Amino acid sequence: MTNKPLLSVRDARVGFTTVRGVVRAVDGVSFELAEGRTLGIVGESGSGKSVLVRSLIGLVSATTGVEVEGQVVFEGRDLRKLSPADFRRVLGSEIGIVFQDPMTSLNPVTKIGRQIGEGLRLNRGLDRAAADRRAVELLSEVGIPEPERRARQYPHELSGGMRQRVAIAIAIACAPKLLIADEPTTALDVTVQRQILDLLQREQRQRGMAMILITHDLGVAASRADDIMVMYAGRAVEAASTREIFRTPRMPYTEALLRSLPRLSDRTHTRLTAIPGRPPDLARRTGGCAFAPRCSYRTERCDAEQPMLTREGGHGFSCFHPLANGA
Amino acid sequence: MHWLARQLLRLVAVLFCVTLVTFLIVNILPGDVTIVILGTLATPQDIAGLRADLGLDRPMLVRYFDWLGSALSGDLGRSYRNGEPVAQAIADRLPVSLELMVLAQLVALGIAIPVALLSVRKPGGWFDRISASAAFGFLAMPNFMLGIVLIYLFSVSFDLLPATGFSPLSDGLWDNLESMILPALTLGLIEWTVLMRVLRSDLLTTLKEDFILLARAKGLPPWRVLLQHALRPSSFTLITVLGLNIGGLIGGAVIVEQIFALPGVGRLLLGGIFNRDLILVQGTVSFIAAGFVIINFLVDMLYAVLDPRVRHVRFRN
Repeated sequence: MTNKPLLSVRDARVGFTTVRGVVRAVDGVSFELAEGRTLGIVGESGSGKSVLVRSLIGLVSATTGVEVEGQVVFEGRDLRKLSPADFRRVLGSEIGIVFQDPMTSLNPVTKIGRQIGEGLRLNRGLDRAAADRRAVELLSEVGIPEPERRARQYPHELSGGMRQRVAIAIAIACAPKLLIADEPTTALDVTVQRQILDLLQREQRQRGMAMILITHDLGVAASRADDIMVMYAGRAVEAASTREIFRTPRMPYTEALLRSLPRLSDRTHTRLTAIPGRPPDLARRTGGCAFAPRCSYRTERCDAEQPMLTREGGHGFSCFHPLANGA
Repeated sequence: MHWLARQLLRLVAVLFCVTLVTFLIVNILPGDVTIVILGTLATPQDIAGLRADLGLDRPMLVRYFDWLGSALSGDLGRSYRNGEPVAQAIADRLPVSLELMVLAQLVALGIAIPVALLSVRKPGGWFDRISASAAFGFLAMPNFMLGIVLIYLFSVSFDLLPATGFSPLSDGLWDNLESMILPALTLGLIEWTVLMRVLRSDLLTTLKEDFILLARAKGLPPWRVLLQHALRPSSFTLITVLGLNIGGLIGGAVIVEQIFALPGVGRLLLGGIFNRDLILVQGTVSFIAAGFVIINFLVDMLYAVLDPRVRHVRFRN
């Protein structure tokens, strides 16, 4: 971590009120992100990683029955204390977001150029002609051939990979300081995934943006993130530099995740190691560690007590029986 | 353009069926125009003579195709009662009915769209709940009753608007509108409810889409997200219902024209039925049916204007 964080999140909590009670989708997560760095947030479906970042930028509060708590400081401003208009200004001009599915994240009845230029006109005060020109430039920057023609087309006329490039163009249009990529390659073809990740990384470096890369794919996080935060059942269970996480995981869940990755050195037809059991029901939390029922190191204490995130050097983990350092 | 040709062909088939069925139904109506014309004291010979004069003694299908042949060239026959050309009678009254329906739709849309937009700002909130109750209240009200209530309020109690009668546009815009406001409100105040509920439910679905999140992430204020991103993709069911409701609106117009004594097509039709003026009824009903089918055909075309994806599929070949 460098001196001053661009984004600092303290004790973020998100609860959804449902008929079965309050579901704690995010339960006391804290992290910091320095300028120009990439934080990979890793976890399986339902671990709360998407809800976490969406709640930070106010995109889950529209529905009723949602409660968001915690402190989100972006460039020294507490986002949750800004007026709605000021908040929208920060969101529109300084934070860009790319969603998982480019089939649904673009407006089907609006031309692509207009969708890119919209934020520019609103946040940068460009007139329509200037925004249209800039949209074409952005399209060519994200690697779309014939940008003038494409700008006048509708989303359904483009392939999935192209649409994700458009979504990236929209996200970076206003030159944000932070780019949030929420599973940006999950919905795409394997061959296209890499191109999109390369594009994200290139744009990030050129513009010096910080990036939060949400993914369930450890391989993606390993190759693209500086730091990794592993989430399980709405909590951060391990956080460290990417190198540390892969070399010396401390949390048994992370270890299990790493072990379930297929390896090129394995013989063909080797069975993948799966984690037994399933993630817990977030509406029925027990007092203990959420991972305990699936953990091979489980003891009585794990069922009775919730382990807190402890730090050893730059390495945080929440476990009573951490794996030996350097094992 | 292949798609367009198919649609036009279907249009012709539908119109053929509609006119045939209308002819059959009109002909099984009890009563006889000859009795209306000659009176109850006419001798059977007189009646038979008149029937032969009017061509009513020929078989029904012969009469239908005879009628259809002339109808295709724009001649809908002449009224049995007063010899007035049916086409002319309709043309004279059509502007009144059209104005009534256009105004009623404007009233309905003018209420439905803002109310739906305000309701989805906070689903389940006080505005949403009140507007839902109001909608069901109006929906449950028959239009003849609403018409009478409006007359009581605006004409009898406050004397603001005339209760009956019609001033053509040539008398001046305000005179004309004055006579149309209450009839248009009577139809529109019932029509808006369905439109509002349909649009509201589509808006709620659209608002869950990722592109709405993205619009918000761009920093757009909530009302711009609603108007620029949510409204258009949510309007397809609204447009469909708008087209289908024309049928209900025509039915309502028949009653409303009667209540407010407006000289429209509805009153013409009702008069024709009372007088057993079958040729007039046939012409009017066929005309209304054709109008209904053609409007829904145009609605179908409108999808392509609103949704580029429909355009894509239809005109790819």
